[in-house]
Amino acid sequence: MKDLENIVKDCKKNRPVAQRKLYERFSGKMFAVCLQYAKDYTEAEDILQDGFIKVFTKISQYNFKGSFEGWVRRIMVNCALERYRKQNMLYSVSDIQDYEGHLVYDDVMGEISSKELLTLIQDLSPQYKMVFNLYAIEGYPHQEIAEMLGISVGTSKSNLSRARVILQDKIKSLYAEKKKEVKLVVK
Amino acid sequence: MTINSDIDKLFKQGLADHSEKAPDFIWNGIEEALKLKRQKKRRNAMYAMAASVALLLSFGAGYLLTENNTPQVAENNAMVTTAPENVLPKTTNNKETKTNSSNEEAAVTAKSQPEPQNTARDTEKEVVPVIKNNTPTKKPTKIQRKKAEGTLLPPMFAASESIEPESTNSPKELGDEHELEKIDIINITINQKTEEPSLKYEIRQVPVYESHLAVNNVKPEPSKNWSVGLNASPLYSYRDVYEVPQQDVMAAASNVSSYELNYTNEKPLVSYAAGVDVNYNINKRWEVKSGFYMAEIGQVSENINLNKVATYNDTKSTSYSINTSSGNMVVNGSPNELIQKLDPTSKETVSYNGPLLPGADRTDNATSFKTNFVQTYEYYEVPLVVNYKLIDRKIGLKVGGGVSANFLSKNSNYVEEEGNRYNIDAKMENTNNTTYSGIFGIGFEYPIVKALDFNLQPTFRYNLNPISNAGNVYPYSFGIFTGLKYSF
Repeated sequence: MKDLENIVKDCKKNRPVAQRKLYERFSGKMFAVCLQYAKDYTEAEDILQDGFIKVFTKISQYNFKGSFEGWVRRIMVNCALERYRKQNMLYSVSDIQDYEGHLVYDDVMGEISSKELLTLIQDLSPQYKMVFNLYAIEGYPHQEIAEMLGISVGTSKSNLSRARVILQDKIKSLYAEKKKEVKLVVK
Repeated sequence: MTINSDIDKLFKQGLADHSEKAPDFIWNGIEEALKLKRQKKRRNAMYAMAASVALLLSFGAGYLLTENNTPQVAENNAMVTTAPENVLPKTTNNKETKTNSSNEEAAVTAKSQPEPQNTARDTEKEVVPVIKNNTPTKKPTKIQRKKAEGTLLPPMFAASESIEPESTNSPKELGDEHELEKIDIINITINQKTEEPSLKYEIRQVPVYESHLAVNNVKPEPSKNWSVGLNASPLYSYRDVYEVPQQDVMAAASNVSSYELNYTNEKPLVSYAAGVDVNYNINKRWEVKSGFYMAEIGQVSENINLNKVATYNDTKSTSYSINTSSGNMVVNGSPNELIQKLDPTSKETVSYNGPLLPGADRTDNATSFKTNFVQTYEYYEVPLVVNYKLIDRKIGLKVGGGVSANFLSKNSNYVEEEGNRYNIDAKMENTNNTTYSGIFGIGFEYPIVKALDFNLQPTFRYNLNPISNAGNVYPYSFGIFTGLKYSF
């Protein structure tokens, strides 16, 4: 994308017009990412603002290798992670044992909007949410997640399992009236 | 298919293309923060440049001046008054350096004889430091806490910090968040999904960052790293005399002072020092200072015996010498003129044993006269000092030390008799044009108004090399510098 490349080059030169263009291009998607990690809109707004300030000040480090959107997204996730670390140092939800729960496979038919999915994630407690986001959505392995959050690999795994179970339960309870076998469909 | 990958996939795909419009004020916040960073960068670059230019020019000027320092005193006078204008930085965009130069001008013109070019320049510039208006418009609350630091050394060591914590409406800056305390917050959310809206309570311990507070007990941000000061002090100056090595005495018998004399007739001199300094805070505790000063040191040689010399009608003695610990003071003219000035009742001629010339009187009232000779040395000084802040409260205290390079600008000598001063055309021989001194001092600082502090700095300086090539004399001085400091 030549157009994007030029905008990024101008941003590297600290041009305000280019910075505005870049923000408008990516702010929508990045705000959605921030909402994923935040507990509410206020926190998401803070992460978005901090994130973009970081993007513009560190843009000299982007070498056009790899997707720019991916680079910006990583910065957003890092901002969320920083905030999480500061806020949740005392908030220990660690569980060293692996969670050996029985997950029941249920087909639930229903239509779930992205907005509803977001809300479900937002409702998770911070550590579960963070682990789920980093594993299921960003695709980080447990080893890296453990390092990022300062927990053990076992804790990361058990947190992920718990998060999945909670999300599954929430989805089920949202559509509990449908007793028939239904498939999960993404809107 | 396992539920695991189903759930993961569900969320991943469901959220992949999700986007939501961010509120408009977020961009404004980003813009403000970027603007601040740009201004800060530009400012720092300018000040660094101005400081280095000032240092370069002062060293250069000092070198040039001392090169020209050998001829008569009259020429030196002219150079003193015009030199400071050339020494100070010429950047016109920088308000701070303008202030420096105007203050320096004030110091110079206050001391020396006013010359036409100086007064013309004075009217153009302002003397009061101009406070830079660099605060962003989106900062409704400003809390100021002055960190007072004492400085030991001359003005350059004065330091004060003005701290402005961010208010809640201020644009966020990266890496500025420091946890101040932890408070309990209760999150109450209303779950509207159920049939009957229910309340969900959650108590959480959350750290409080300084960006969240808008009250007075906020931790200060070290955002003001630079400051500029103006100081002056009366100086008590004297010297230590050490023995001159025997071989030096033999080698230059006429030049070297008679070290075997105990110069008990020499007394300290009360003079002055004044100047400007630039201060940079490396971190909370340490700071580095440099600047430009003018200081006068010297001593008083009391009870020097002036003897009239026999004169013939058409001969004149060209000069005579007064011996001091720092070497000889060569005075142009004859002692007779001086004695005549000091004691008008004395007759012009002196008796001698040879044949009398027509009109000469064999007896005379005053053939000798005891009087005081004052030697003064004026230096341009460029110090480099490091300070450590001991106390960081409203009244601050700091200690520090450093060195200073001093460039001789003028050596003037005069006679002091019964409170009257008589200028003489005299020069100290073999004075070193450049000397170095060690500096030590403590400093006290007290804030007056926003970004402006008053400072008080008792300072002691001791020469690291002798003042002249004759003898082993190390001047030292003590002063209590008072002045103002502006931080930005």
